[in-house]
Amino acid sequence: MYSAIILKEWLKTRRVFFLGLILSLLIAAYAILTMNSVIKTFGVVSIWLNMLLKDASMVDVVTYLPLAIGVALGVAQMAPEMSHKRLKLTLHLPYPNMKLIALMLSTGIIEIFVISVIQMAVIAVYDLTIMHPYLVGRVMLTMLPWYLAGFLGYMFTAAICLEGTWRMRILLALPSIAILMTLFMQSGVMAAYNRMLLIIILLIIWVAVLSFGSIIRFKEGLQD
Amino acid sequence: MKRFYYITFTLLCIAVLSWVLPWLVSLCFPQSDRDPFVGFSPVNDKFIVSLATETGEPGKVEYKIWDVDPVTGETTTTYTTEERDSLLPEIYANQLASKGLMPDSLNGVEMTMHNIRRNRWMFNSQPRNLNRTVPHLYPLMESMPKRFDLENPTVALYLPGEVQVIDMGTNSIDTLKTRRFAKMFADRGFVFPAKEASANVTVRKAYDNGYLLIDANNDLYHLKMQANRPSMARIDHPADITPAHVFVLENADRALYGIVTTLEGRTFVIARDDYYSLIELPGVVFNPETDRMTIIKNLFSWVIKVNDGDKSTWTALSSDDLSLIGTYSYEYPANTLDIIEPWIFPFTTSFTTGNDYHVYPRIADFSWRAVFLNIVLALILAVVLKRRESKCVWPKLIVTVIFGIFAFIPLILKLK
Repeated sequence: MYSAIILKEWLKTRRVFFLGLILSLLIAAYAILTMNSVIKTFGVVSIWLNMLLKDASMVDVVTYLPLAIGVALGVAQMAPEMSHKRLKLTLHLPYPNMKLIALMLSTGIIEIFVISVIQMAVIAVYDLTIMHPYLVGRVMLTMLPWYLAGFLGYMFTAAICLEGTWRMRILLALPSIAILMTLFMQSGVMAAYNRMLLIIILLIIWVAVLSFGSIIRFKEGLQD
Repeated sequence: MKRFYYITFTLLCIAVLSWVLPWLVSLCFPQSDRDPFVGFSPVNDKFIVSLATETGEPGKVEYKIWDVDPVTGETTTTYTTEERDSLLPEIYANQLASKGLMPDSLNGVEMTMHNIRRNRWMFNSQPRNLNRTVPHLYPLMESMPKRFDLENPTVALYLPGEVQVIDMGTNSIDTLKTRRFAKMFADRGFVFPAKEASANVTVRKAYDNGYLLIDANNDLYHLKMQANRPSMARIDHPADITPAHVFVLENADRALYGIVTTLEGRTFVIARDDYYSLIELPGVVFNPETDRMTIIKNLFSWVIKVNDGDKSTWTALSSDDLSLIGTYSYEYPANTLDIIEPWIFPFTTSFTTGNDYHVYPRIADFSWRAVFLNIVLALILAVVLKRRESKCVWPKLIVTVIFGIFAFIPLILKLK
């Protein structure tokens, strides 16, 4: 049953996963080509000085992609469950409901994690060839909130999709949008979110509660 | 789990609303505090204060200009803009020169444009520039370039627990320079790690003064790279001060190396005379982590403005010996938002401030005044919940009394 559920989730999300992975690699390649172009025009020192003196991470193009992937994966995975009330069938599987939801969410989280790690690794490997590991670490710390926003976006999307009533979906969407906004619109300075990383990780875990709550409400018959 | 779900949702809403609602209210009441410009007149030895005020017509302002005695704090005269220009000839030199009103000399000092420009500089410090995740890689300029013009740095210092000079072009350690710098740091007694390093890394300046450093023992050092070799000096300081922050100066008069602030709240300049002598700026109370500072130095005086957010204080010092002439303070009038907000919100949440570049939730502006509105909202909620025959009424009312409007909005929504 365990592997069957994972297979079911994989079949639902594989297209979005590969699309997200390809898009991530293309965006990473674009960021690298942009840096290459700057190096050829102004020299590699200009990259260092831009980072050290102007707080330019040179990878801003990545900013919204992890969030888009997280939301897309959440929709691809959870929306089919809600169409024609298929979630009822899922919940009738001979597997504890809460464990089932945890397994579903874990599948999505692992897929986002894989995409994020691959993209980060590609950028980090290139950066290490042109700049000091300390600077590469700063670039990674700058990107980390964007990837965490992908996980958070996924969790919120899952909770909203699994919710049975439109009224509650809208009510869940409003704080979700506001919280996700804080991850992008507050500062463009490198490593500005360092003090908030642990809070975001705890928030991701906490927000998972909303998906379980949506399921309980669904089982109680709170559906449109 | 269901109760936990509702608690989670309500807490999320409280967190978000405590951020969004104060922000929306602040949009309705934009703050327009205008800072007066204050100069010290060498003509009448008084502060000259210029405050722009709204005329009522959009985009148009008129200036209210008056003087303040630096000792008594009394105002005796108001001035027109033309009169102000004449009272502050070093600041409005171009205006006066264009009208042929520039005096030949003042207080025995020749008032040529060359003399004015050479003895005039400005320094500005903002808390944001310190309160950020500062990269501990320090681009190092060549202070004695082969050609006259300054060039962009090609090496960077990395001071984790030892000296590393990184060649930025090849992304590798420059072993020769590393060896030279390491020896120099050891010879001067520098203790790692470096607490702070300050420099102005730009080619848009007349010369390079390198870095001012504070080591782990709170000792001050001055470091430059000259002809690819390190030049380092240890700067003695009084035993009763602990340097906290340093700022490099590269002014046209070349009289100073920089500014030092201390944990004790004192501010010093590092003078070139007498081999790095520290001279205190009397009357200046400045914490660079919370206050903004502007120094305008000219032929006759230094005017140092320190803004702590609630008020600005200008301190005038004599340019000759940096003795205190007097101070002037200006407190910003309370605006509508400051008056209204404490009555509506029990607290506010924000993620950024104007004083730093960090992003994290900060809960502030706690106000007991909001409890009146909170009780009214709790009573409204009690009536609504009674009509709905809701469960857990008391916890909801208590939460509303504590969190006020932030809890009232999610709780009044009929969640089912």
